[in-house]
Amino acid sequence: MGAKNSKRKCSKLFDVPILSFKPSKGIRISDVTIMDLPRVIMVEILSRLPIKSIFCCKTVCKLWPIELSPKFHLPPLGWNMFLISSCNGFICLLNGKPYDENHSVYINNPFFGQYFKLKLPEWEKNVSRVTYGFCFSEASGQYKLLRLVARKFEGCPEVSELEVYTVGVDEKWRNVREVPCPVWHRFDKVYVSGALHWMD
Amino acid sequence: MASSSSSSKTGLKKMLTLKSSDGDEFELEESIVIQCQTIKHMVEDGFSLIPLQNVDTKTLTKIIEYMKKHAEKTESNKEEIKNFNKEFVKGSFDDQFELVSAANYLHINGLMDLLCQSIADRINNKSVRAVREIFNISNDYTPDEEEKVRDEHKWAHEGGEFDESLD
Repeated sequence: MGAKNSKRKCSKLFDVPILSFKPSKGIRISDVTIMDLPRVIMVEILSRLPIKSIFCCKTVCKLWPIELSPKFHLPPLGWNMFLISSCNGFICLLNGKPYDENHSVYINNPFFGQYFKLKLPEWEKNVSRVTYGFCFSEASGQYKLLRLVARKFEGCPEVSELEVYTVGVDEKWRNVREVPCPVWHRFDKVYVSGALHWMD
Repeated sequence: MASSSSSSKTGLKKMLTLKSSDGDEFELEESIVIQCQTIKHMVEDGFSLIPLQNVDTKTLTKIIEYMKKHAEKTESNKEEIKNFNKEFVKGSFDDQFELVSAANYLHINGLMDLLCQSIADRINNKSVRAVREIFNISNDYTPDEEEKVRDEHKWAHEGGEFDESLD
């Protein structure tokens, strides 16, 4: 009896005519809310707000489209991940060891969980190690990655060269020049007032 | 440079037709329309009549107004374009909703930037109540629930005055 009833209940569900929610042509929806925007547009909008405003918005309604958790969303890289620098809420991560040919570098927005992997220059045999820095150039309004490459030549002291990658332009690393004071991966660095400072 | 001035002299500008979802057609110069990445790709594929099923006539008219103005952009009329942009984003959220959805679909980067920034500016520093009003959102929290959420991010609600205006 019970089974029969539940069967009837089920079929009853399907008897309900399916309503079309698509507005017919020519009628404009007058009560669209910001929550009807696709997620990609919402992220575009919210990423222009200060963090305080983003959290305030959570109180607007339950369905506020961006999931806000106190957790940061990092790329799934496992335990071999090191922080290179952080800047304006973005973080730059190193996966692997900087003296190892197979390391990779990521830029991540931990708040929205977006990230991308940078295309690194081909690893040359004479490279002994590299050191990275990540910063925002106030002069150009662009994010830049610095890559200090130490090269060994037989019988000569090590040479350090600076390479620069500008985010969002192309995938080229511009070789700036040799640097007189090489920095090390282990140096502390801090980004203050538009400049990256390395500290021994 | 030389070829574009000679073609404008002879009046041989390449024209394209955009067709809105309501069936209205708009004839425009290709140089104006290629600001829109989606259309640019269709033009490269040899289309000259471009049906835009997701954009109605009202929205398309506004978008054409934007593209025409921005096609005139030079070094000397920056101020004029700035004022145009300022006027362009005025209006209700309903209008902005249609525009930003269309700009996203059509891949007009400049317009996308302008609209997203404008919507963000309308949210920034506004009280929760004002955000609800501006964006047609009904509050689905009970007073207790709202208090709890507010407590979770207390720091965000502290300090400074929040703007209650609805513009």
